[in-house]
Amino acid sequence: MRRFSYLRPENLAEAAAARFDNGPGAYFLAGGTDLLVRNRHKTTDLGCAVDLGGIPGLDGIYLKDGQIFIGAMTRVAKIEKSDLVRSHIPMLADAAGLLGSPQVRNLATIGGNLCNGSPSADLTPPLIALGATLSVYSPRGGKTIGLEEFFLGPAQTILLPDEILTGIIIPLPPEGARFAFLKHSLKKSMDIALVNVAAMVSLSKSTCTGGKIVLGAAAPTPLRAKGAEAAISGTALDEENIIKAAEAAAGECSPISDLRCSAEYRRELVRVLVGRTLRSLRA
Amino acid sequence: MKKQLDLLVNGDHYHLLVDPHVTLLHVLRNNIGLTGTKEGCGAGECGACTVLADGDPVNSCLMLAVQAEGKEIITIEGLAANGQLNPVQEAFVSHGAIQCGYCTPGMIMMAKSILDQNPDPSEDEIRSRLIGNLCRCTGYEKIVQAVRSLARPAEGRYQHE
Amino acid sequence: MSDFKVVGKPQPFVDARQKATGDAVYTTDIHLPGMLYGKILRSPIPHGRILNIDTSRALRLPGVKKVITARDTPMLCYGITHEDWHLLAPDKVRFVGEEIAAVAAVDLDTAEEALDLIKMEFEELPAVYDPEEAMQPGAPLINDAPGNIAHVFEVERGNVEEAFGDSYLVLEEKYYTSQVYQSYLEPMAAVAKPESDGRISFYLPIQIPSKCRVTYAKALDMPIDSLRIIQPHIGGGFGAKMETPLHPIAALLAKLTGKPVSLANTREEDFMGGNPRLPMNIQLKMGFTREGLITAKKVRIVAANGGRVCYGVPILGTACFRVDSMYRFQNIKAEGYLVYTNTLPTGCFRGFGNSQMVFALESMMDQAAHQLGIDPAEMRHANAVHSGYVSVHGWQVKSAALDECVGKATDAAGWKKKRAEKIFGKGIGLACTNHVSGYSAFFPPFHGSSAMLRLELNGKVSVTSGEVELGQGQKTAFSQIAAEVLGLTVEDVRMTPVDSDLSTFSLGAWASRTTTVGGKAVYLAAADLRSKIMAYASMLLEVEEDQLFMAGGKVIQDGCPDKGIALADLASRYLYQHNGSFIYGFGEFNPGTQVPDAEKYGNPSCAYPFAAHIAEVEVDTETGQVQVVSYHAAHDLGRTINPLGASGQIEGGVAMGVGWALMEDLFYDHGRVANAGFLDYRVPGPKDLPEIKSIFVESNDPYGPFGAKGLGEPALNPVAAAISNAIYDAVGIRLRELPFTPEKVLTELKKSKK
Repeated sequence: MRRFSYLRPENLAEAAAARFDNGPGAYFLAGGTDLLVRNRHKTTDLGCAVDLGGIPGLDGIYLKDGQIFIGAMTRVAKIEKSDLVRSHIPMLADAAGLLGSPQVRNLATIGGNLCNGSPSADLTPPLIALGATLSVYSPRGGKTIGLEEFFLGPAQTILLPDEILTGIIIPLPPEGARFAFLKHSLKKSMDIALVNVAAMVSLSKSTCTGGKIVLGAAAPTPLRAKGAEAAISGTALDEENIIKAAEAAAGECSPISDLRCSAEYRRELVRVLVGRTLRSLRA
Repeated sequence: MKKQLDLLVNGDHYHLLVDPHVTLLHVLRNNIGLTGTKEGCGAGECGACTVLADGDPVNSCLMLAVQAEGKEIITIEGLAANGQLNPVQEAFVSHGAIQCGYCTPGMIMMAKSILDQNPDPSEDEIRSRLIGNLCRCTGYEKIVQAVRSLARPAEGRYQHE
Repeated sequence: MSDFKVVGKPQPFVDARQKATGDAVYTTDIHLPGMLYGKILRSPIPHGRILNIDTSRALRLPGVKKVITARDTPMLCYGITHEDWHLLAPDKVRFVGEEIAAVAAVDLDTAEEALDLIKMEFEELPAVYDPEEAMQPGAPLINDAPGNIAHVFEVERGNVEEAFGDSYLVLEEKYYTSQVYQSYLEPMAAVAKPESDGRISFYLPIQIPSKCRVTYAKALDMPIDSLRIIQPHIGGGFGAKMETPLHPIAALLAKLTGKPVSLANTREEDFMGGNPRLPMNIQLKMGFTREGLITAKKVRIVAANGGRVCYGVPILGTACFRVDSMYRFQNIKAEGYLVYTNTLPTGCFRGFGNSQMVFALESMMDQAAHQLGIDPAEMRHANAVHSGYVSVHGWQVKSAALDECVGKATDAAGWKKKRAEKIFGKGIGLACTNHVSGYSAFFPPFHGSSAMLRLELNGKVSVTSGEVELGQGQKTAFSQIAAEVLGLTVEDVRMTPVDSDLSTFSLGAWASRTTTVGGKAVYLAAADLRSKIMAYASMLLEVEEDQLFMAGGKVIQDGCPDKGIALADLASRYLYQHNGSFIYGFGEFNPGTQVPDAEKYGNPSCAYPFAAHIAEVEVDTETGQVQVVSYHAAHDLGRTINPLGASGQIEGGVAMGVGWALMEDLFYDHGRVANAGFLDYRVPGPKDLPEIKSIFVESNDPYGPFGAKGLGEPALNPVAAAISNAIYDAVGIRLRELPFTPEKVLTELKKSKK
C-alpha cells in the first residue's frame, strides 16, 4: 500500500485548514471507496488523508420545513434503507441500492459519491431530477449551491480545496409526482453504469409538467436533457411524445467511447433508456 | 508516524501500533494473525475481504485500520463457537458450496449478514445481496442453495438444521 | 443402479470445514521467522532492448535487503517446450509484464516503494500484437523464430478436397475466440525458504508440484532433488497455476538473502503476470451429406502465443485435432500456427484449445443443421461416436455416451417444444463436447499416476498421492475411492499433505485427469492394501482368504459375524510383529497411452468424456443484452464418484463459459492490459447466471476407477456455442467472435433487419 499520513479533525474549520496546510497531496477521506482505490491505481497521489469521519453532525437524514436533509457523510446503505427516503423520494433509495455492492454501500457516503465527480455516479441523476441543493462549508463563509452547477467536468467539482460539502437538501416533490431511475450496466451484478437515467414528472389531468430528465455517463458531467424535457412538457406522456423525447435525449448528449462501449452505443442506450424510463412513469 | 490503535475483533481487544495508511485487512492478517480473511483484489471488487463492522458487512481492504477503532469487528474466525460451526458454515459445508475456499470466508460473512437482516430471504434477494462477492469455482448455485436452506419464515433467527 | 456404499453418494468435501472456519492455510497466510517480502518489477513496454537498469536508489532504501536483475541469476534460458524463458530479462523485453528485476525487503510497503525507485531505460522497438501481422515479412522479430512462428502443427487424414467435392453442403466460416483471464480468487504467490543444507523449500499454489521441479531445477541451475515443494491450500487455478518465473524468482531471492521470502502478485500484477487463454483465429470448412453426416473438415488456426511459449504447443495441437474423436470424422486436415506476439504469454485455461475449437465446430454444426432443415439434436445423434470407436488418429474411445447425453439434455430442457415456440427474442441452443482424461503429450516421459496407502494404528487409512486438490474435490473423491475398496467410510480416510519429499511424483491437475488417472492409482493402491490386509488377517484368523470380507473397519469371516478382527487390532499386531512397519498398499496406474508419433497417430488418453449442453437465452433486442435464463448440462462422466462435487464442477464450468461468451475479454492498449481489475474485467456474478441443472450419464469406462472419466473441462467447452446457437434461435443472428457483447449483438441485429 502506498504510504500517506492521516489526520482526523474534530470540526470543519480544522478539516479545511488541514487540507489547505498539507498541500496538493491532501484529500478528504469519507468512505474510502473511491479515494483509496484511486490511490492504489496511482491516479491520485495521496499524501495526507483528512478523515471527515470524526466531525459530528455530518451524518443523518431528517425532514424539516418541507425539505429532506441528508448529511454528506451519510452512508449510501443508510439512504437505501431509510424509511424517510423510501416514502418521499423512493428514486433516491433505488439508486442507492444499485450503487456498487452491499459492502461498498456500507462504506461509501453520499458526499463522497458526489465529490468524486464521476459522470456515471449513481446518486447524481436522481438528486438533480429532485432539484437538490448542496450546503457547503467554506472558511470564507458557508454557501448553498445548486447541484446542477456543482460539476465542471469528469472528476472536477466547483469546490475549492478547502471547501467541504456538508449536506444535501432535497425539497419534497410536489404531490402526485412520479419518478423513475434506470441504471444500465454490462453485467447485472456489481457494475458501473454505462448510462443511467433519472426522471421526475408531475402528471395531472393527462398533462405532464415539471418534468426533469437527467442522464448520467452520457456527457462529461451529469446532463439535464432539456430537449427531452421539452418534448414531454404539456403532453399526456403518450408514446409518440416519449419517442420524441428519447430521440431528443440521444441527440443532446455527448457520450464517449471507452473500453466499456462505443459512443454510438451509449447514445443508442440513452435513447432506449429514456424511452423505458418515461414509459414506466405512465403506470 | 505510527498510531496507537485499540481494536475489538471477535470479542478480543488488541492494542496495536500501526501506520495510518494500512487497511483493516492488512492489520487483521499481519498484526493480529487472523489470516482467514483474504485479499482477492484490494479494491473492493471481489468481497473476499468481507468482515462485519458493527454488524454491517464491509470490504476490509477499503477501511483503514484506524477507522475501525470503536467498532465491533467480526471475522470468519469469530463465527464458530466451542468447536461448533455456525449454521451458515455448516450449511456451506453440507451443500457443497465450498470448492477452493478462497472466496468462502468473505462469502460466509456476507451470507450471515443477509440472514441477520432478513431471516427469510428469497433466492432473488440472496443473489442481489451477494453481488459484492465473486466466486469463480461454484457458479454460485450451491452458495445460494446453502443460504436459502437457512431461511426461516416469520422467525426472529435462523436455527441449526 | 450401483450398490456402492460410498462412491456415488453425495459427499461434502473433506477439507470444506477448515475452509469454512478460515483455518485453511494458503500461501500468503504463511508467516515464517525472518521472512522477507518480495516484489517483481515488470516491463512497462511491449517490446524493447534494455539499455540500463539503475537499482542504486532502491538499494539505499532502508529495509531493502536485496535487489536483483538478470546478472544475479544463472543467466540461462529455460522453458517448457521452447527455451525462451529467463528468470529476469537479460537484454530485451517482449511483452508488458515481463520480469526485469526483483526486490526483497522487510515489509511489503518497502518492497513496493523500492520498485518505484528502480530506473529502467529502454530502446523501444516496434511491437506487433496481431498474429497474422506478426507472420508477415518485415514484422518485428520477437524471439529467434523466423516469421515469429513458434510452432506449426499439421495433420491430415483421408482426402478432404475430394470429400468436399462429393458433399451436398459445404460451409466455410471464420471464428475468433478471445483471450480471457482465469480469474482465480487467489493471485499467484510463492513462499521460498532456504534450508541450511542448500535445498530450497517452496510453498506453492501450483497444479503441478512434482513436474514443476524439473523446470525450476533448470531455471535455478540446481539439482532437482534440492527443490522441495510443499502444497498449501490453493485458491483456484483453472489451468493458470503452472510454471511461472514468480516461483523461482522467490527462490533466488531466498537463496541470496538467506531468508524466507514471500512473493505475491496484487490482482493488477496478476493480470500482467499471469498466463491467459490462447486466443485463436479459426478458419473452418466442413462438408455434409444431405442427411447431415459430416464428410470432411478442414481447419486453419492462427494463435497469438504472446512473448514466450508456455503451453501453446499442446494447446494448439489440441485445438487442431481433439474434436476428431467426437464425431466420426474420416477426412480431416488441420494446420495450426503458434505465433509470437508482444502480448501476455498464454497458458492453460480450462478446455486447453478444445474449448476454442468446440466453439467453432458446434457453431458450424448448428448452422449446417439449420441449412439442411435438420434438428440440430438429430444431427448430433447421427454423427456421434459410440463406445469402441477408434478415431482416424488412433484415439481409442472405450466408452462413449454422447448420444445419451444429447437425449437426456433435450428431454430435460423441453427441446422440441421450446424450438417450436419461435418467440422473437427467446431462444434455445445445443452444443456438445468431447474431452480427455489425461493427455500424454503434456508430459511425454510418463502418463499415469502412483499412490500409496498406509493402514494406521486406529484402523483408518492414510492416502499419499502427489495429485493436486484445487478445490475440485479431488481429496474427497480419492477418499471415497479408497473407502469403497476397503469397506470404510470417508471419515476413516486421511489424505496426507502433498510434499515432494514424501508424496509420489504426480503429474498434477490438468487435462481433467485427477479422478481418472490419479484416482485409479488410489484404487489400485487400495486394492493392494486390501489384499495384504486379507492375507495377514487370514494368517491371524486361520481362515482362508476367500472366506473373508472387509466391512465397517473389520475383516470378518463370511457367515460368522463374530469371527473377525478390527483393522485397528490388525494394524497394531502387524506393527509389533514387524518392528514398527506399517502395512502399505502401492498402486501404479499405467493408462497404456502413447504420445502421438510423427504422423500424429497414437492414443493419448485412456478415457474420453462427453457432454451435451442446452442454453436458453433472452435477448433484449433494444440494448443487445443477452441473459442466459436456463441451462441444462448432461455429462458422460463414466461414473459419478461424488455427485455433490460433480455438479459443482459443472456449475462452475458453465459459469465460466457464460463469462467467456458474454462479458469477459482482455483489452490491450499498446500492449498493456487496460482492464486489469474486476471492475472492467467482468466475471459473472450471482445475478448473471441462471440455475444450472446437471444430468449425469454413466457409461462406466473400463479404465477409470469405478468407471469414472474427466469432468472439469468438458463443463466449460460447449457453453459459448450453446449460447451462440441459442442467440441464433432467438433473433436469427450468428455470432462468430467472442465475446457476444451487447454492442455486437445490437449491431448484428440492425444489420439483419436491413
